[in-house]
Amino acid sequence: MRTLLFLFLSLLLFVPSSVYAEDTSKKATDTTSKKTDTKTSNNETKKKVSKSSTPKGFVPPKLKQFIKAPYPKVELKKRKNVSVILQLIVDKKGQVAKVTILQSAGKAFDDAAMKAAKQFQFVPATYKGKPVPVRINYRYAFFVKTVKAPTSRPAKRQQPTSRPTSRPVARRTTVKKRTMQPTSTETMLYGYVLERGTRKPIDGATMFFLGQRVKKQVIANEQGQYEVPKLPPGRYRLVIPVPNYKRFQAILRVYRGKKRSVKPGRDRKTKKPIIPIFAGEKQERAWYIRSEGSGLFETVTRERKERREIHRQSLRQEEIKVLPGTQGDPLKVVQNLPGVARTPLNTGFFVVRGSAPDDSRVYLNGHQIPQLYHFGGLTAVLNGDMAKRLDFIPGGFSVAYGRSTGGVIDLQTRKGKDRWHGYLDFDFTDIGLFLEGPLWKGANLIISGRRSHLDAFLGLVLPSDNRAFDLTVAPRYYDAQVKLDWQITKAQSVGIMFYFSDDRLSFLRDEPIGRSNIRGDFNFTTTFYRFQTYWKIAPSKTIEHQLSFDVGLTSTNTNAGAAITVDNANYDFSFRDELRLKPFSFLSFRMGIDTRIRRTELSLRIPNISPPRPEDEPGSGSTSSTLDEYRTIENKQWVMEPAAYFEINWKPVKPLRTITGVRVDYFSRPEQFLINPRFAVSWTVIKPLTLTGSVGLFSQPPSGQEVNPDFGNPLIKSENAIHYTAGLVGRWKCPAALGDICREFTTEFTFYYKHLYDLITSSNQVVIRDGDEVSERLNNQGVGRAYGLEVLIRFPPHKRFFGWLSYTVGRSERQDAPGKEWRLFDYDQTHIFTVLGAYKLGFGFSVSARFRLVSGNPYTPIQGSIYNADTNGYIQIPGKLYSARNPLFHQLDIRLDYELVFPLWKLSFYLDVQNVYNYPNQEGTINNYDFTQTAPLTGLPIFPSLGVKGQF
Amino acid sequence: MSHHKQGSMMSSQRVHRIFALLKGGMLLCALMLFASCFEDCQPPFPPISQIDKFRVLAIKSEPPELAPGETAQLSFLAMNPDGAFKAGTFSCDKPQALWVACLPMLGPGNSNASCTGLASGGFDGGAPDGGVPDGGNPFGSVTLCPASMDANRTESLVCLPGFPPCGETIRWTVPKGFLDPLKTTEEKEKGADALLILTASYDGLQQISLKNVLISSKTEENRNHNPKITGFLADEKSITSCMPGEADKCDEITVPIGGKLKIKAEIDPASQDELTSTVDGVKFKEDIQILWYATEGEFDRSASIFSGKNPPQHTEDPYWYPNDFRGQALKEGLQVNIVAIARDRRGGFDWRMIRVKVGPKASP
Repeated sequence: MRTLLFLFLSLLLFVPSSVYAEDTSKKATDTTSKKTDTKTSNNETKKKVSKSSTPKGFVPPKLKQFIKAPYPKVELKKRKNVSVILQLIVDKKGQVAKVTILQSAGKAFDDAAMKAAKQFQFVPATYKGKPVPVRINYRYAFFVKTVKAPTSRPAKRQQPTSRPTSRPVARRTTVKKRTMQPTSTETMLYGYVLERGTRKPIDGATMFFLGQRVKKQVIANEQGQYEVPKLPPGRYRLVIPVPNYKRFQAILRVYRGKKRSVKPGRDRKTKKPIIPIFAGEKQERAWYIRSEGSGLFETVTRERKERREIHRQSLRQEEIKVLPGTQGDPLKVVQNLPGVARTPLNTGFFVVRGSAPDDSRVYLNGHQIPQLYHFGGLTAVLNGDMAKRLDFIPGGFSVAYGRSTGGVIDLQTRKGKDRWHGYLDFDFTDIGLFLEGPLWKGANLIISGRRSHLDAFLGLVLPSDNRAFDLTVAPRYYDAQVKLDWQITKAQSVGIMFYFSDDRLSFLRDEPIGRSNIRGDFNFTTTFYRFQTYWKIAPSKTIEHQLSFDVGLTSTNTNAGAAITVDNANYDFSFRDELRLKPFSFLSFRMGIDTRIRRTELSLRIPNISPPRPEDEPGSGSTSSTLDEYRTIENKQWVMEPAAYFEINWKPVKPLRTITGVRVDYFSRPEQFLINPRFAVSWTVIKPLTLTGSVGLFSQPPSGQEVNPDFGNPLIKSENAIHYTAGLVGRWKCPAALGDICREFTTEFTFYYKHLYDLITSSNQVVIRDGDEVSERLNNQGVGRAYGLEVLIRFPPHKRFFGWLSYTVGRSERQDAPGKEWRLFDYDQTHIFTVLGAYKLGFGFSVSARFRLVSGNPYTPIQGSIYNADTNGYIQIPGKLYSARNPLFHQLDIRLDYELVFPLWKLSFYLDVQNVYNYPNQEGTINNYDFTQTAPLTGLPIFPSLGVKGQF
Repeated sequence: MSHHKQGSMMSSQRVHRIFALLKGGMLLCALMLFASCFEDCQPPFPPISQIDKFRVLAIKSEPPELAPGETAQLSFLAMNPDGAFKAGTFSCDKPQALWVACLPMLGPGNSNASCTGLASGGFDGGAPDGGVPDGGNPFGSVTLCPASMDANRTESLVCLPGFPPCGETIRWTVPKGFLDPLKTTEEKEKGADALLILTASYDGLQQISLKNVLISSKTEENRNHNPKITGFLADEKSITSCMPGEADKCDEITVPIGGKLKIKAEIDPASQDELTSTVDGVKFKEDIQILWYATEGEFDRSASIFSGKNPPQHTEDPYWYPNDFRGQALKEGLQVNIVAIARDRRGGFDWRMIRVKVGPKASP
């Protein structure tokens, strides 16, 4: 920096250490370019001069946007590493005004470097706070990456010939058990340049060995491996400047001969220990470089894939893990996207564009997941670190998805990393263990497990003289996932995944319930096991075939004393086979089979009393006065739901794209064939603006309970919906001044209208079925409508920041029977506004925040009550259905993360504070015993939670 | 410019600092959580045990189960906070209560049918109602089968208003053909409920109450019977209790400010029916639940994460405290009525009352 200041005064400025950047897309190429600073080539004398001339108040320019220059094709055969020294004049705006060649490397290299450098963007230099133009020297390096012997697998999947060990070793000590061998007999020092904390190889790190007379430059390959030839004895300063990493420096002393004991010394200036190197012996050493700003968000620059759906939103793991109030749950993050209603008390179900929670489907790798959350919303049953990507399609989804009239969430799990990593974390609800790494060539494993510790916590909180019940097993959950992916060949891969979850709650109640003999042990258990596998083959770019299935058991067991038992077991088999053909660039086909088979076994023993329904009259439920009489129901049934789909993706002209598909479903309960045609279109009118639209038919079979002859209606039919959407999508570049937080952002405006029909509603009609008069209980007479406008302004992860603003204004209504008055939908929310973001502060700190402003849910006011002497309780007299609404909800959540980085591992902490200003949001109302007095039922007060995570 | 420091020393100190912060932070968080929870988890309502307005507390049918053609004597217990049972405050001057018998349908699905067999049934005058104090006539004209009940179901109920003269017992005779719609002997033995609706009002406050009475062809020994409260123990000593409306027959116990009173209602064992469990066939004596009410003061609450300020009512022997539900001491000299209602949760009821006076603060 001192050199820079000197040069500033003399208008000959050298590049500061921070003047570098990296294009993260370089990994996809064999050859790449890289820049280094010229400071390393300056001698100590120059530095001393510059030090004395440093003016106060000068801040050098900082490179914000680096432009990668392609390695000149004409020079490819030579495969040499070269540098071009440039002189740049950076104006007050941070733009490169002039480029001059100071040291040429040949015309091709010079031209490429000049062309790229002209497009650099800098944070302008300032003197006493005012921008000033400066002239700097810049070394633009071109190097050829070392690519190992030809292999059938793609370059990005190549494994290092030797991997950094995962065994904890002391910093800068020789890593043993290493398979890397130096390639030259002249090698003195070899090893790895790795990221501190994660041990991730640093691709293309340039190492400068600066001695009194000898200066040597070595570049690590893409596995982070380096080799240093023999250097003359003497003292060397090792400098490793890497973009987005702290500048690394160490002092070495090279001795003649073989390794022997030498007196340890310290550098007088830096007080650092001097590392002895013996030129007569090959020594191995790993260097750990600290990431800058606790690791910035990775900017995805790879070619953007076309969305399969017009209105799909995809979230990356970085966006999933750090948002406040979501506990790292991928599914809870979705609730912040437009079209999704806020659910009360932070529960996690999905109300998408005015559809009921049961109308939306959540898939894991294309197969429906049996349970989303532990205990209905506490935390997701799948560790968020397994997630690769989460796709949310609020409506108008592809024909590949079906059996739903709401929205679709598809969570894709990732493969394990190529190095062994893992962590142990502890937070407010659970303790978790996560491990991932390679098993053999091309095969990667992930193991994850969590166990709640609420039982221990509640044991401390609950009083011991609890007389209402004795909590024998407090809410407790486990979950685990094991996934193995194997890239057999370049074109073929297979994978298996096992995942399970277990929720359990038990208590002992001495006092009978109501007029019954129901007392004793109460147990609630929900368990599922799933085994999933896939086989994917893509012999060419035009054909891709994937076959997958998911099989498992979901078991729910409930008992209340010896009196009530509900045992439900579902054996599920889900099969998906999909073929994608892309014969032309403008035309592609997608076809597949999506089949679900379910065996349901229900065993029920309940008091002989009908469950109350909205139509029931107060007190009518007590027509059976003997609650100690029981009814036993045994029900076993097969449900077959095969489906086939076909979709054409056609681009008749470049800016126009159409997706036309049809899905044919068969539902065995009830016996129905359904044909769902769907169509979507997008048209890029002017470059950043795209018009979108879709229309489609969607069908959803009734649930098992709804077709159960004992408490449903076996003749009930599927529910149906027609989705209409129209939207405008814009993709914009951010102003250069925002280079650290934003490169581009998107704006999306979407109008939606959803017509729902054949909705299943309750009925009190008596019908003749099989010659007997029976209660109909349910029928398909309901209709509904939902409409609104969604707005999303989204800044994808880039360096220090990501965030989005979403707003939905809408209405959802239902008519339960023909002629009945339209009413609001249970979770209708007129306005849903969410703004959130995460920012990397640097020094290991990052902060994220979320603010929500949402209309209150509708509710039915209570007009009065009737005293029921039989139960010693009060029966409420409801007013008009959903004719009142809770007050406006608003809440601010903030999360602060801090990361300590050690050479081989990281320790991170977070503090997540929900409802920062402790606003008592009303989630409902509570009433006194006879419903004559009401008070607001408020949601979570200010709720801080802490977590700690150690990862290697 | 070097940022590469000796990680071990520096990080160790930082780790210690972080853990110290973490420890303090966790404590702070826990305190905030508990403080906010305890503040917000308590609804601002008086507990169900406090008689803070005119309330019907129980309805009794003697006997609690009937066969067609038999007659039941109906009574109810009503109280208000400022001495409902003093002479003159609950008089015949204003119409105040009305009985109705509504018979639910007995048809397919047990959800819809017409009322049957009511022609020969109805209300009748008789002995004084236990719940109606001091000779008052609590009856009058109130709209029955209220609009609050679902209109679709109202037509399936036949409502018989009864207007017995002041001071006379309410008797209701079950229609003889009540069970005729039931086809089998088993169904008739199982029986069906008749719904009694009571509308009571006092000083502008009105309360509608329901009670089901099981009508069946069971033999008398297989029917349910009302439990009976025989007496009270106050701090382990027997005291004289009374029926509501007969306060002058009660002992008055003094409980000092800051003190507490342990109370226990004694049940006549002979009034407890012997039942056979339909679950495991074991014979057992029915449980009698005691519900405690008081015009002032607070009973100790059952601890439950679900109950908050409105706990389930006490089934065991509670303590009564001369405090209001916010924990403030009652005024010295205040007279309090405490009522115990015994219920067998199968339709059987009984009730008795004791009197308590708040005394001067006990010396430490």
